[in-house]
Amino acid sequence: MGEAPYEVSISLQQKFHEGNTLDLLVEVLQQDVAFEDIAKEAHKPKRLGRHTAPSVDSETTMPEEAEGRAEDVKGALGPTCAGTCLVGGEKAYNEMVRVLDLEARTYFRVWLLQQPAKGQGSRDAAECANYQLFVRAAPSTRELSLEKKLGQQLRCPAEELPSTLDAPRYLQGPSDAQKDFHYSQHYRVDHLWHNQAHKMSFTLREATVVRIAAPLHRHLEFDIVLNQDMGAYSHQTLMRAKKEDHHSAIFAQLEKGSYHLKLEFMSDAALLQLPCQTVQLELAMTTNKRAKV
Amino acid sequence: MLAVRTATRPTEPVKRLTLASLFRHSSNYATVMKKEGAIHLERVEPGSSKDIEQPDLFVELFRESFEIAEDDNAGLAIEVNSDFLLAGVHVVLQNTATGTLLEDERHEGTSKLTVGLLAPGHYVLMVYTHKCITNIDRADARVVKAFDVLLDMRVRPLRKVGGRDGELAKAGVPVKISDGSTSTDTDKPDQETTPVLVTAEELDCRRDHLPLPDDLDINGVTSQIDWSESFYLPTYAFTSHEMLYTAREGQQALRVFLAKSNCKVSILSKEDRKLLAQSRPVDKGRAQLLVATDLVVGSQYLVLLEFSERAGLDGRGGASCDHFVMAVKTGDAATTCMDASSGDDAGRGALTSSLDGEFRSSAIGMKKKTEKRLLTIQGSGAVDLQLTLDYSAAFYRADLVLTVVTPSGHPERHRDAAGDEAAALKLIATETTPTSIDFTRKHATTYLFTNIVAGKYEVSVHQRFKAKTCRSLVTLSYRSWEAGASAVTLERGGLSGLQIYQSQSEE
Repeated sequence: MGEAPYEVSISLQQKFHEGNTLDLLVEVLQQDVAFEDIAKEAHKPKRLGRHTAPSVDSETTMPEEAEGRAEDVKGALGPTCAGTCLVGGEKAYNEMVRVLDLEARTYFRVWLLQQPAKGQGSRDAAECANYQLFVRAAPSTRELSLEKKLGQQLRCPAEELPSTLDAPRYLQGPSDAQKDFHYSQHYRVDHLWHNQAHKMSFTLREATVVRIAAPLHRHLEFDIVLNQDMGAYSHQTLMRAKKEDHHSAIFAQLEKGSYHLKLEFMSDAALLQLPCQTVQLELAMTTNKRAKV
Repeated sequence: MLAVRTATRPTEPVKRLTLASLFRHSSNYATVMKKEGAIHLERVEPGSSKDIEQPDLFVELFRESFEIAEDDNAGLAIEVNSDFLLAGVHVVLQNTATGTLLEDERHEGTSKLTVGLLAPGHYVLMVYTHKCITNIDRADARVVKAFDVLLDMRVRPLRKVGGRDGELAKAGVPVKISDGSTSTDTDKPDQETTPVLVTAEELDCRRDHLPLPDDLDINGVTSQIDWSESFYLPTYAFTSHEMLYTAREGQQALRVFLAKSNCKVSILSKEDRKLLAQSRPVDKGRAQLLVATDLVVGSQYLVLLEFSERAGLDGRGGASCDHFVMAVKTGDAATTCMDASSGDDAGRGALTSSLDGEFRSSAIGMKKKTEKRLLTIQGSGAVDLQLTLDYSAAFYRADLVLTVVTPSGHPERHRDAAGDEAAALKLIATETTPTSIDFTRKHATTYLFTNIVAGKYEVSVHQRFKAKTCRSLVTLSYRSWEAGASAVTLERGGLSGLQIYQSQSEE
């Protein structure tokens, strides 16, 4: 494991009606230890009742170990709990879950403790328990703020609205020529709450046909505004597309120059800020020359 | 087995659509309509937008009424294809009694409206578009004086199958055209119309995905083909599908991308069904790419899709509503390349990604078929990395491979130049497998790598089939953040016996 703390999740799964229920226990044996430096011999399972610090001298070979079954610890063996011991976990449907944070370089053991049901017929039936055990470890994010954690979990896959269409994906073609484009996709708007609007500038190097359509949104109401830039700090509106039945639309043949499209939201900011809120836009542009067929 | 198609699409478009004709022919082909000069220009002065209201720009292309009888028990499937930019048509269906409006689902160039069941009564079906505003002063400077509308349209009754009345569903639907009698058209709705039969699952599927087209030129015949859509397969079995393509001037090169692993794409000459080219797997076999160049203008070709029901790498083969992205682009491969000597070597430097989740971009000039960039992910521990490769400015599709760079600063492959099996295996071991690949974005592919270790990587961008003399530009966007794999997950492991202990009915 690396240096970052780890989140260890242990899930013990058994049928609710299982006669031989198991309990789990996590025993932390050694901390801040490199893998090759782990004193495995010192941490071999001990007989129950000997809750003392491990001692090499006191080690005796158990019958199970002699038979090569050291991992299959049974009978009078158990945790010494010389360090930290965590018993049990949260009960869920047919399951017991324990989630714990451990520092990297921690050597720990998971114990399953069996409590055979009394009054079972045969000895075999009494000793046999059906279960599944899942143990997983992954870098912990518990130290992160809730906001950051949410941000990680809810990383929105939708494309962000571009601030300019003068980019290779849109108008910028090879050798700086103006390129045609046509996209229909969902754009993310949940990060636009500061000003309730988004501006996309674009420069046309020649006369161009432009079409924009925005289907009706279930929650958000917005207008699409086409503005012509009249200088560095001023513009004039060519068209404001409001919702018409089920969509807003702009169809225009524009002379070369600088323009910007603006999405102006009328809805409450809370709706705009819903995680990964998107609007669908269909945008297309082609030069007049290529539009003439 | 020899069969002849009895109905073929008329070569000449009609000037006017009628509902009777649409209902009659739509089971065989889409009716093509061309309306010359249908969309006029409306001059606007900057700052005077308040004088222009959207209803003033409304252009009606088709409007007819029909009646659904008590015992029809039918819905409706309408599909209109047009060039979005030049025609941009919308479809709307209105119940005249209640005033309820049903508007189309928009896809790229396609307006689709599928209604599972229509209540008995009168309906109005309307197709419309908008006038074009312009700020070009002089009329003689306007290259386009008015826009023609070219669209094709299908209207079919629809019935759900799979219920108790399975046989009844196949019965014809007598549709009464309310105002068709005023027409001089000789097509009268005097015969029953064959309904399109769909299962409940397919009906759901049609809402978000398109059926595979018979003709690649689904947006009309006015401009270059360039679409990317989600299609569905309404079958569980092996199946194949043919799509017609007619090569036109400036469109002698064809690129078909199919984001599905258990399939193959081929192109055949329509005349003699001679195989001309086949697809190759890309993105680790998760998709297929076919590129055909030097097609002959005026010749017709068949693009053949062959699907297997066996689960592919995506594990989706044979699933109900099996849907996938298919993207088609035509062009002239030569003119889509930049001059090999032109431009500078955009973005040859190494790339650095911070763990702030912010996108950074770098343009990559593709001189060779493969270009490599060193990517350093700052920080330590596990991170997630998202790479988006945008090839919108290129004809040849690009894909990428992410490889771990060793502490010595060289990718693993450089140490094993012998090319033997061991080296190949080692190369595979150092390649980082993406957790997911998203093909839904047009002209771009997004690769998500989760829980990888921060450090140095090599990004290799490939353009298959590209000629050596062709230079093109792709854009690589990248962002990274601390791994979120230990955040809440619903994943519970993949053991088949899991459900034995998860039965809530035993509680």
